[in-house]
Amino acid sequence: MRRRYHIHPPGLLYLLLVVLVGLAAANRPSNLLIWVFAAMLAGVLLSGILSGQPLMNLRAQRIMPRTARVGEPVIVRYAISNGSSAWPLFALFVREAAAVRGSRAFAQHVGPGEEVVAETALWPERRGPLRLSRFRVETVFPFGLVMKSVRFDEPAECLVLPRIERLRPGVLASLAGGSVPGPSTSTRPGAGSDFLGIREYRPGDSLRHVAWRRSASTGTLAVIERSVDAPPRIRVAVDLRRPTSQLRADADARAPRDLEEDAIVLAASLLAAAQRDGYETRLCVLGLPSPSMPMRRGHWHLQKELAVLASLDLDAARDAGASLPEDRERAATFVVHVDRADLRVAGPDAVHLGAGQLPALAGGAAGGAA
Amino acid sequence: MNAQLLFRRAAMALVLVSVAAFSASERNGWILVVGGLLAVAAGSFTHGPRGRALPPWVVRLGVIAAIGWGAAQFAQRPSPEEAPRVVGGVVLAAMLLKLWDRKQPSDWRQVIALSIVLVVASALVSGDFLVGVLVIGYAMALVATTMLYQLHAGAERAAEDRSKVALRPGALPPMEAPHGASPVRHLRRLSVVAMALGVALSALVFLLFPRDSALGGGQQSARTSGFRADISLWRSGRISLSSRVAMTVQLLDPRGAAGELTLPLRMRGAVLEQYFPGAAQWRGDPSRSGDRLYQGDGTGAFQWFATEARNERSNVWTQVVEMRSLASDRVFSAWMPLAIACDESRSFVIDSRTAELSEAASGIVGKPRSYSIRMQAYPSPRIAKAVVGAAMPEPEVDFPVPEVRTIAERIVAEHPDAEIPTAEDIAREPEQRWIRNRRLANLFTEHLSGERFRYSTDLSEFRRRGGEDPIVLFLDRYRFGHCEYFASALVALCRSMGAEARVVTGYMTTEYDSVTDRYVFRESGAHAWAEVRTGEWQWGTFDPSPMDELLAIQRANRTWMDSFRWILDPVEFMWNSRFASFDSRSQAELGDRVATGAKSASAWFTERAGELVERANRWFLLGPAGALWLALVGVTALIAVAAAWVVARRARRASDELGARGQGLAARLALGRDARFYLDALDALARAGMAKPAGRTPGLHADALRASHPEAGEAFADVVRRFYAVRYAGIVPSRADRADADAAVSRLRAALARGYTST
Repeated sequence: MRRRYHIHPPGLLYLLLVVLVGLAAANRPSNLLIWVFAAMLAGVLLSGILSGQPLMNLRAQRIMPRTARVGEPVIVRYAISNGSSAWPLFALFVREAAAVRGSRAFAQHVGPGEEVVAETALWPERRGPLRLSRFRVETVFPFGLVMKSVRFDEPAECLVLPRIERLRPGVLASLAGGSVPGPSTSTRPGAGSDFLGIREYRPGDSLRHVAWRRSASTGTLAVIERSVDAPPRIRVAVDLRRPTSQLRADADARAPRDLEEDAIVLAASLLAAAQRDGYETRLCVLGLPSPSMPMRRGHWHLQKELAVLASLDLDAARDAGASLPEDRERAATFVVHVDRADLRVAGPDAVHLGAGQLPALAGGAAGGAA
Repeated sequence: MNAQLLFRRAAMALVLVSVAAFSASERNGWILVVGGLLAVAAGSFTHGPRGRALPPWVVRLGVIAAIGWGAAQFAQRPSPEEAPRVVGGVVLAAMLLKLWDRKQPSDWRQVIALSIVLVVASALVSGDFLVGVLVIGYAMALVATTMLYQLHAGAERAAEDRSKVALRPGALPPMEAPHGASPVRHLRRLSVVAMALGVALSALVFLLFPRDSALGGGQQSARTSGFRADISLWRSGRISLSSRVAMTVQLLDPRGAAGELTLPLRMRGAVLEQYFPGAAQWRGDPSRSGDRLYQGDGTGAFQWFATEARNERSNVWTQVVEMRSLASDRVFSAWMPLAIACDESRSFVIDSRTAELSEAASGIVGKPRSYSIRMQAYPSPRIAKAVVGAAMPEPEVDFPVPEVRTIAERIVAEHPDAEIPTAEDIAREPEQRWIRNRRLANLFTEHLSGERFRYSTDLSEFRRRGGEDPIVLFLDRYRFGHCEYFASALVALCRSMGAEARVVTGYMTTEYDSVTDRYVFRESGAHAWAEVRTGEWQWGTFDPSPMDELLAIQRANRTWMDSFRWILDPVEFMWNSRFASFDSRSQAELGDRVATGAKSASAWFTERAGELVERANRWFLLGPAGALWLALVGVTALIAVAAAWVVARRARRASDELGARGQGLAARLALGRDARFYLDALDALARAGMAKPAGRTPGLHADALRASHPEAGEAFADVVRRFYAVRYAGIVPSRADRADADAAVSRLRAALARGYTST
């Protein structure tokens, strides 16, 4: 924690005015003017005392969410506590030292012994880890002549997930040739519509599930057991085997790195669209190290996949020989390429998409959340 | 807390007070009426339901026009005295225009800055009591208003920043500035503390501010009362037309009855003998040779200036002076003073050459409020010589501007019937000298008070060219001016013809209050006239100013408010006496009193302490070394009190931070002693900005520290482990354990000093 005084331009102007009034008072024998000079000088002294003393017992702690998303505001909160038993704090600004787009948090008043939470919104413009190191609590209260600040060293990190574009409804099915495949039946009992088997009646089974003919023939009650609906499945693969320096810029002259980011955004958008449509998804990243993801569905599974995409370091060495793992489950495969499509990376039924197709696939309002 | 609403109200009040201060300094109530109405109307017009404002170009044009008007006004009367008035007018106009503009926080900052400049200009123009009260009130209001401005502007700035950096408009809800409980109460308390501290600090700087000792109280009082102890003919400041009562005088005849004289009554304040042509200034003799000091005893008895005067029985009048708004160290006397009396223990000094009376350094801060003078209108040579002293040096008879003699000779030549004695007449009969002086004075007085000359306080047309002397310009070209010009001209003419003459400044009145039997002297009655030597020890009064015009101007400035001024007079006198007239002499007197008071207080304290010790010594029969024994007991008691405070503090800390609440004092102290190292570790963390939050256990805090400061986290974890052993396992640490624990704390401190390493 480090306390500092800062030069504040209005304070300099005020000092200049004090000097001028002092000169006038020295040259012109008017006691009232002398008192005005004395009062102005007292203001400077008071400003230092009233702004410095209360900050001696200031403590602040940053409260940051774990994840954020590109283009969406990250609400960062600061718990500001006043350890003094007598001095209140007023007009406190909190400013981050990190170069991230955002405004300052503001707390109007923190009473003696109180804690107030001020918040600000940061707008991350890049995916990946957002690292904040130190922040500064500053104030020019009470007279705006002197700015005092207290610096807190408190590193924190937040993972910024990639931007998600809202794809047109049904785009997954239409890309997959009309329907997205999945297992025809599931082997897990549940409230689906597929026939799984017949078993004995147990107390609690609904009478609607009773197999009357079998029951009549065997003389004991039997029920029809059905399986859970097997949702459609898609596998999204991002082809990042080629290093950035070997990529070609597209027709719109977007830089290769931007194309790679667009590919990541497209992959994220496909996963989000699939989750919205109730599909099971699995993410595969070719060329960069990434954890192996299972085929699942649901909000948290999507968040894990987005976190994987967010953590991709495009400056790391690429594995040109990477290939898609063998597909044991029946699922539609979508391969997102950065510039040129390599059809050999997946099977004949795979759908190959380029990063430049993102605007066409989105079609509607951009930046929609999953 | 609605900071915006509170701030707007405070800012409007501040603006109104600044307008009132300027209005009071200009003594023009219309400024307050018109300016105040415009300001209040601006408040409701721009912040009302419709929230309209003047177009920005109108405001800018208005400000430019105001500056142009100010420049034109200053060009008409280019003088340092006029500059604050002009600046104040321009700033007032600019401030009122700004109030009709749309107001962002930066605009309000400009309005406040303009109001500060306006108040400073008011203080430059006038030091009156009313102006002073308004300036002080403004300063105190400024404290609270500036604080409210910081809150209001801070919230606005934060909201503006928030909307500027947003990538998508409307993505965030409107910002509400968070605040704790009772912000208004805390702000009010802080304002009061700030005002009290500000008053104390400003009073200290005011008392210590170095003042020019050459400028006595007369210079101070000139700005507040119209009376001047010097004359500067090129000073273009206006003659005071204020009808405020400066003082009242009661004249008691030799029988002690109060009465009214038929002639205008003049009160002498300062005698100016030296003329400096370069600066066109009249000044008194700064050496004041021949001064005699008279010390009053505070009983009100008269201090006689000569034994002959004390024994004088005939034609001795008594003049009782009571100061109202005027606070001056000059003592005003209508005629030749013979004695002075004052209820306070003040010292007075009389100048032997000029019979000027003034207060000397008396050790009393403030000017005399009332005094009485025994005097004679036409003292005999014997009395005059006794009062003013023997061996009086010859006054000046020459005048340093040669053109005046030419004019004087021309005037004498125009009046051959004046029968001015010649040098041969004087050589034959020395007494003819005084007759010559008197006749010359009468001739010139008649010439100046004739129809060719006009009395006027407006000198805007009186322009100087090259190195021309203003007296010559007055006599030869313009022939209009105020009393200072008339008196200067008469003295210059007399001196150029060899007649001893001098300028006198003071007050004049014909106003007599028959209810209280007192003459009333108003500030507009400040006047200048001439004295010409008409005898060995006598000086005659000659006033060449046209009386009718002069009195008409003074009467014209009286209003119905004059009847009620007596209500404020005592307060105004206190202001003028203690504040406005506070000069280097007052500083020295105050310093002496403080030093004397401190010495006497210290001596009193030492004496009492000695008596107490002696009494205790006798009571306890301690013998000769009893004082030493009692001193030892006292020191021991102090140490015991300090130790008890330390113990209580430790016990409290053990309760709060070691979780020992509810345990006995001995247990808490023992725990505090055994876990001393843990408290040291907490202090080290707090100093580094990583204080353990109250709701977090030590172990969790060590884990949190490890994530960001691995080295410090490990060191603190070690400290925590040892603390848990002491606190919960009941282990009493041995000496070696304490040394190890201290070493762990040292490692923690070292790790914190190295700073964090990013992961």
